[in-house]
Amino acid sequence: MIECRLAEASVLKKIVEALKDLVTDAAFEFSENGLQLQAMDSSHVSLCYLQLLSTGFEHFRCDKESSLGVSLPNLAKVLKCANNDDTLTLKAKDEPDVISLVFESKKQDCIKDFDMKLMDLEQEQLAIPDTEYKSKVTIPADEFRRIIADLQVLGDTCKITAEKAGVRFAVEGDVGKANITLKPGEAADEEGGKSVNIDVEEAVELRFALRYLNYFAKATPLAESVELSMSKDVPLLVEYKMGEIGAIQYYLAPKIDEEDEE
Amino acid sequence: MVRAKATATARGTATRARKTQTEKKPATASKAKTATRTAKKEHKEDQVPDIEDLLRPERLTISSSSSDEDKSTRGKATAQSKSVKPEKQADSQHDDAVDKLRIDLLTWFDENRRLLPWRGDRAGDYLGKSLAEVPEDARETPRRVDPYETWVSEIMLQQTRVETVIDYFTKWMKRFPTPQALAEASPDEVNASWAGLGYYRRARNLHAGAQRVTEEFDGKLPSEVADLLKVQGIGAYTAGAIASIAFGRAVPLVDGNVIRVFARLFAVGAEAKAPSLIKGCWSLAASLVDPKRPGDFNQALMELGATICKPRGAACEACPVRSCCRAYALDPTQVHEYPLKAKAKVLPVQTYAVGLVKRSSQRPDGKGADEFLVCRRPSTGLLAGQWEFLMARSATTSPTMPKRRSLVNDALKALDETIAPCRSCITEATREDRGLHEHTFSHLQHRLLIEKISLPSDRCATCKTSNENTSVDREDEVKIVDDISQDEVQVVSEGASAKDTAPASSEVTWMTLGELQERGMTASTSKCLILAEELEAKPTKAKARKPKTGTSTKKRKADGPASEKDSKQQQLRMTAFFSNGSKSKSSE
Repeated sequence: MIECRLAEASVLKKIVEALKDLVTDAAFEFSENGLQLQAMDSSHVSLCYLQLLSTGFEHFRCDKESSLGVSLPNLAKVLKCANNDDTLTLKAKDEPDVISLVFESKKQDCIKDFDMKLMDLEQEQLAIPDTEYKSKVTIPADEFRRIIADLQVLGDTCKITAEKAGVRFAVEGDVGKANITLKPGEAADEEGGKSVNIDVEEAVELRFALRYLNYFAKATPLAESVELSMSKDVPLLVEYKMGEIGAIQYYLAPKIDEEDEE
Repeated sequence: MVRAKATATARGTATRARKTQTEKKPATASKAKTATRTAKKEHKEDQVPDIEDLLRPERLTISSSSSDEDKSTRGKATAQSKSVKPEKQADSQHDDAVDKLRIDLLTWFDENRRLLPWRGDRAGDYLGKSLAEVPEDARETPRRVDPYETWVSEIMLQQTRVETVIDYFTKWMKRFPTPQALAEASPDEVNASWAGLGYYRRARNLHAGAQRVTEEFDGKLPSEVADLLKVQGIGAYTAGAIASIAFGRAVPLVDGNVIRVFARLFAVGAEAKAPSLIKGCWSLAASLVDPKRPGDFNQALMELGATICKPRGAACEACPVRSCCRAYALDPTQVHEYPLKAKAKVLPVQTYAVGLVKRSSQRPDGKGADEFLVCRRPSTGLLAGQWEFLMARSATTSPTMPKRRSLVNDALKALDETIAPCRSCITEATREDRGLHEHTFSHLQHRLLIEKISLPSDRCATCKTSNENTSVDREDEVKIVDDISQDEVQVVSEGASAKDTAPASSEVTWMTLGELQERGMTASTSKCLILAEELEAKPTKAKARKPKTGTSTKKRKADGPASEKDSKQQQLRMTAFFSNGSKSKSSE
């Protein structure tokens, strides 16, 4: 059986919010080490990978590895019924056909119990290769969300250029064009960690669909900062690290110029 | 700046044909070398080979085996090993080198070849992937491939990307499993199966070839090059491919990939299309082809060109024959400069005003559907027999909107009135500019200025009556003729009468999207449709793109409608990067 408890329901709420617009159905893979989820959006342009470690839970038990297929929008609706500071317990039997969610208020005076039917999902899982990225950029998560939102005003494709001197987000559309450049800040700069950090071994320039970046930015509440990793001709990795509990990673395939060799 | 200079120098190194260019360059270290070489051109020891060297392939040498040392030593080692060898030694060295090249190449091919249906690999997730990416337990012995399959695949692969061909090939083999089946098919069936691949002559030749094979060679492809060349559409390349791959004849073949590989192996500074280089490559290929496994050797050469020795960005670190590669020995960073790029041709441009006329219509089955006015191109010439939207040639490259409209109007007027949309239905409000699509053919460029005309669903009085009277003959596979007659019902049932009523050039009719797709759309037609209808572009496989669209970029006018598909880039998919891991529950 599976039983795991989170001190605050808000964590799972935010996670599901960060996924549900991108993927509708996905399978939570439970194992003794924790739980993970890998899914692609319907057009297979992006992939999200969630990893939660057992150590990040208040209590975590999984006797048998199981895969629980759920509809994320429905899960989000169920989670809306929980208060942010409720404790949340996920439960499932071996070979389950439902997953139970129990929300308990801090004062233990209200207990809500939800059962959600599971789905049989035959999803293809991709092997994510280990990539040594040539450039990594860490920026405050809300800054990233803002940039993506701002650029969407002008177009739908964003050119991201990472250079030692800074990272540039550029978009060109019918209305006009825009460039947003972030320069590396002093790490010691004011209230710690909230600055741009750039680690570029080789300058990289790639183009991506803003629509997907916007979906990724839904994970903003989960982390202070977001890390963008890029190398030539490989998908962009956008990673939100959630402290000790784990991380959520998004991969996005680049767009390429249509003119090319024979 | 720096890069530009480096490139220029490399070009200088690579060519002596462009000496003037070299002389203008500021002196750099490698430039000095070039100069020396140029000076002692008459020397036999000249270390930069030229076309003549290709014609004397005994020049093939292996650089010192420890080829991973730094540049300078490598360069020197090659230079020495190449230059001062007495003839006899050179001979034996050449034989060794040829053997090594064959072994290296075939070993690499056995391990890394791509899985392709025409290589007998079964359909599955791994098609198009390299064998190295396939887990051991998923590997299967390829089935025997029929020469006909080799033939079809080789024709399809001309000028077309492997990824694109896979789907077309599979469908083709289902529809026309034997030369006989193909020979018996109607030209329109053949055309429809080919639609989208481009270079439609290939399909017509293949069709004619199949008929010839059925009649003259008893339904079996001949195995000798000389006989193969008699079949329509089979040239030197295809004949070599079929004879070596399907029949195991030790004959050479040369295609663009092979030319590139050879040009780099021997560091030949010639333009890729130079006749002398092509000729040299043929004789070189003939001397190198492996007598025991000619088909695999030839495919390995091409595969190397397609996957490792790419036009841009050669993946030299993964190259099995790097140690014999003179371009690599000279300068590993400049390998991609060989062969020289031909000067970009300026293609003649033809501008057309395209009228994409759309109406909603009551189909005979009672369902409403959107229909498009399409014309068929004449059965000879460019894109012969393909369907397209209304096209009106413009004399100027950038006609103004009113001019475009009048061109389209003229084209509409030229249509037979039984087909043409009622003119009173076309008003200012129904017409919409949908921007520009440029399509590059091998010899000319089309600029298509697209205008969408949506006929209102609540029609004017004349249309209304005609619509009620419309009778449609849907049975006829090809010649569908809607007859919208103002006065009386008139059923046009057969092609003959359709031809009489249609304008001189070709047939004109109304088709639904489904029918259009069934008959196949050219790359341009589907692009026009995408632009006009803001359709989602068809999901394509990784990097798969419409065959040979060349520089098919579309520019949109500033005031054009915004749509995502309109952007210049192509969105790649995750599956292009991450391989399929089998989903086993016991995985960690």
